[in-house]
Amino acid sequence: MFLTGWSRDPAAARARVAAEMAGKRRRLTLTDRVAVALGRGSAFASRRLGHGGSSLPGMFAERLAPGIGGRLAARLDALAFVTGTNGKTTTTHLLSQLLSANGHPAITNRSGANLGQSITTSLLAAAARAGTSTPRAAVLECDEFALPRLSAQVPPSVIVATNLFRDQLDRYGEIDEIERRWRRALQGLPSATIVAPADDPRLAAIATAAPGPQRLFGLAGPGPVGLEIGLTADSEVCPNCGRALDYQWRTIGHLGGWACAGCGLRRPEPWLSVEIVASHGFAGQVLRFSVASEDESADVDFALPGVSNAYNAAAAVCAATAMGVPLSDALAALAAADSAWGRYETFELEGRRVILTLGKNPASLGELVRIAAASDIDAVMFVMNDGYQDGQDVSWYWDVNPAPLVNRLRCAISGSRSKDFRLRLKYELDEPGDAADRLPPTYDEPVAALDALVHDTPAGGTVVTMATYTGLLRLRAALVARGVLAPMPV
Amino acid sequence: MAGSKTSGRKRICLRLAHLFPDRLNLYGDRGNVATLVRRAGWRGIIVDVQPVLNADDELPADTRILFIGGGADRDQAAITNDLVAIMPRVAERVADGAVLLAVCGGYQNLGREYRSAHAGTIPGAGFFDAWTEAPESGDRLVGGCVVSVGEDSPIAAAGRASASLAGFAGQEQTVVGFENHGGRTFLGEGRQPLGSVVSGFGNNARDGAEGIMAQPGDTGRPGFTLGTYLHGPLLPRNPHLADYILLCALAESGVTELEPLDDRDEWAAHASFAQRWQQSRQPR
Repeated sequence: MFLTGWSRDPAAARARVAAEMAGKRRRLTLTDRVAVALGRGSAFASRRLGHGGSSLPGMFAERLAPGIGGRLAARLDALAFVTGTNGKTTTTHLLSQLLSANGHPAITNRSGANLGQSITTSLLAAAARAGTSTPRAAVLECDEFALPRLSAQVPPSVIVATNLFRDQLDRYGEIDEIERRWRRALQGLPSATIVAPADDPRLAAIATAAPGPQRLFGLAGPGPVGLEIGLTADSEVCPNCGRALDYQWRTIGHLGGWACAGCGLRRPEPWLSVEIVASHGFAGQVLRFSVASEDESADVDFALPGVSNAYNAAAAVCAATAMGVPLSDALAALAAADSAWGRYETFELEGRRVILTLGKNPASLGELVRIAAASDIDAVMFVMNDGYQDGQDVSWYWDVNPAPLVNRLRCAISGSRSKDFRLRLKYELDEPGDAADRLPPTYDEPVAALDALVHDTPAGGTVVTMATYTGLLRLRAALVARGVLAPMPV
Repeated sequence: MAGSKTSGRKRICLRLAHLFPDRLNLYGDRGNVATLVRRAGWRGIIVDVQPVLNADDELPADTRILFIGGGADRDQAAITNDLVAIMPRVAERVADGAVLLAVCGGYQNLGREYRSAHAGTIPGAGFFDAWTEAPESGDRLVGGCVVSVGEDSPIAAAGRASASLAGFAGQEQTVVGFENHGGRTFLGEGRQPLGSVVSGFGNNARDGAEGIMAQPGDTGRPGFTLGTYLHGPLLPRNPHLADYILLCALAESGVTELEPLDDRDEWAAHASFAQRWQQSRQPR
């Protein structure tokens, strides 16, 4: 399925990784070891009490032995932080699979709990596992605003920046502020490799200005699959001179083939290009990878759909190679990779197929609309919440066009902002007559909305759920309680 | 629900100018334009939307509605020159009876000046008799805002029938929206706000006022003008305000009343938003 010509000397590459990983093994103090034991115990306890166990143990251990997260991470041989607006959890999950499939099991914070204390919890859990099989690498998903602080405490060897979209304006202020903080943070990390999309003007400029090595990835143009989605773009001015950018092609929002007619800055040639050769709706896609300055390319059957996941896959492959995995081995592992919890997670319910997805901002929901419009599915269920983690400002509903769904498929809505979302859908009805009767029903409980849609879908049909972050957690928890799904890994 | 009543008559066409939509589009601002287009369309009135991308773009003489949205700090700073340049022609249209709606950043930009704790004083377009101060602390005023416009307000009057039909009588006395601003805005002596804050912060978190408004005929300005911090977007959840804007814009065409629509979803969203944000909160 893929070429092997690129792994010029896989044995030598593996030996290099092993040598890197056998380096500096630091001892922990007695207090640290007590903190590890207690933290591990509290993780067990808080899981038993139903708190999910993701941030309490880290908080505990940091109280007892301040800075322990940093000391634990310093004992690792390779540490990657994955940050950005969308795709953090998926890219983290993919990268850790690419590493473990190639003999380097990695610690990850699998629950998508990506703030500082949860990261310490993940490190604690791994440190407490005795024996020689302790992972020597970590792939940690990291909140955009936490990245500067965490990377100062624990210098990573690789930083993966997936993208920068408008997200949760009420909480994060504007993306300009994130850009300023990242630029400052990277100046203090001269040896970290930065993996970033060439298609994102801001991130390409940040990566190019960073003192460390860079490994850029990008879409190889629009390819045979139409890519454009109607989305309000976030950043379309030149990161250098502020002039409006020209685009030859676009993928999602402001991502694409960009150039500035003013100062001449343009999309840099990425090290790794990915082309979407065929897409199969929610069932996945065929990706063609090629490396700049080499003639060969390799096709990979990839389980996750959509342009956003083509980007995530390319980011994970770049990071894996930066961490020493030969390219052909990384691609082989990618073909066998699966999705993270709640991200295109697929299961059977009453003889129907259900796919859980996360749509938390215009970019991610717009991408889901695009995939759904090209898929053979029967129904869509929305869970639109406005909790603190979702973002309380829901004006972004109007920066996505759900017309292809509301006019074609059976829909249902739940969540704390179901009335606002229903009103949004009203504006996209082809024929407004008797709108109130033609609009999807709303439900208090997400799982009740799902049950209703499953009931109305023919056997063998497919229901897709699109939820904001807390909506996804609530829906998934209900399905776990019912025994349909396994709990999220901690 | 569609407007069969008006369809037999001569087609009315309203021209709407959306100022700088590519640069000021932060808070679902296209939803405001979409609301005016659809609510007019459901009554058989066509709204022709014209994006104005640069200061030297044409602003046709028959423009009846002007809309300007909000942007990130960087975009707002970048737009200042264009705004100042186009303002005389905007003021001309308003003097001819056109409606002006400015939301969030657009509201600040159209004031007299913006006094920044760090970057000195930035002159505004001077259309609204108001100025904005950004506090040293950088605290932002964030959350849902409920504003009472009063029972006798023409805005409330424009929604009384539809709110009552939908089973939400009384909701037409408030305007609701999300606010997120670092600047504190103060109005010139005797200027009228949109209304008084019931919950949330409003112009400055101090004097209980939200927005600035001039009714047709006030201060030598025949057109209705409104500057406000409320977005989310503003108009979908506030059908009475949307209809009032349409009525003001249609005055010249001799239309004095709009056929009530089935606004059950609009008022349900309005009431649910007011309920969600009824508690008080602190700057952050």
